[in-house]
Amino acid sequence: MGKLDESLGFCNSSFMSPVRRGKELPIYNRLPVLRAERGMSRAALAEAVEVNPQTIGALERGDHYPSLDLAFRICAVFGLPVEAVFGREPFTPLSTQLYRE
Amino acid sequence: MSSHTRARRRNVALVVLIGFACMIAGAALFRDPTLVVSAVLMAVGLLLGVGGTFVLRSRTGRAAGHGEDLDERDTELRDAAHYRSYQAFGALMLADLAYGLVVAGHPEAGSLTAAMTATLFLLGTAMPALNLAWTLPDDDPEDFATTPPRAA
Repeated sequence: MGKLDESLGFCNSSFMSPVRRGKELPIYNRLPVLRAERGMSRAALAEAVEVNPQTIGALERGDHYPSLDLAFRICAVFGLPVEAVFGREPFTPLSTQLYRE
Repeated sequence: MSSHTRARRRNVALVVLIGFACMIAGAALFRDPTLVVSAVLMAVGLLLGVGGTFVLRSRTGRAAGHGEDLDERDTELRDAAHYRSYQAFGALMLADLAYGLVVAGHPEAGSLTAAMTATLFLLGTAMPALNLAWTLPDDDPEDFATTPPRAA
């Protein structure tokens, strides 16, 4: 997984782009990493959660906050709890986490 | 589905605005001695303005279209565009009122004002698509890719 992160250039934590709105309470997400890990395109994820593919792109770029409903649907696709996919703090790159462990 | 750039959308938006400018000129000439010129201007303007608006709606995605297929982001974009356009629409109606007062003494004031009102009303309906075309960023090609990003 660490190798995957590095090869995709996810080591830089700034990749987890903050949302534009709510500068004091940003929402970060791990969608690009989770999609890459599972080999999913934005279109495939969008189809799974029944939204426009551009909405997934906007989430990944931090241009859009998901509703609670959409956040739960995305988490159900990845089989992860909400806090594993979305968070108030920037996510540490998985490669760094693995190295520390 | 294909991707669109802001520059191309803005070019179409300019064509639409030129079309509506022709229609406004045609509406201002909508009286007896210049009726033919008015009809030609209105026809050209209708083609460019209304036709261009339909092209814009297809290029600005679902947010400029109907409500059935919209997701939460589309709805948010549409609502913002409609809100801004509604303010501009108010300004257009005020301009129409001013125009009506200016031509009030003209023998054909009724038809002149009616033509201008209809034209500005049409322009008002095109405002959300114009607004989205001008403000939306370039489409990201990855949004439309069916294959996932390469892992290695």
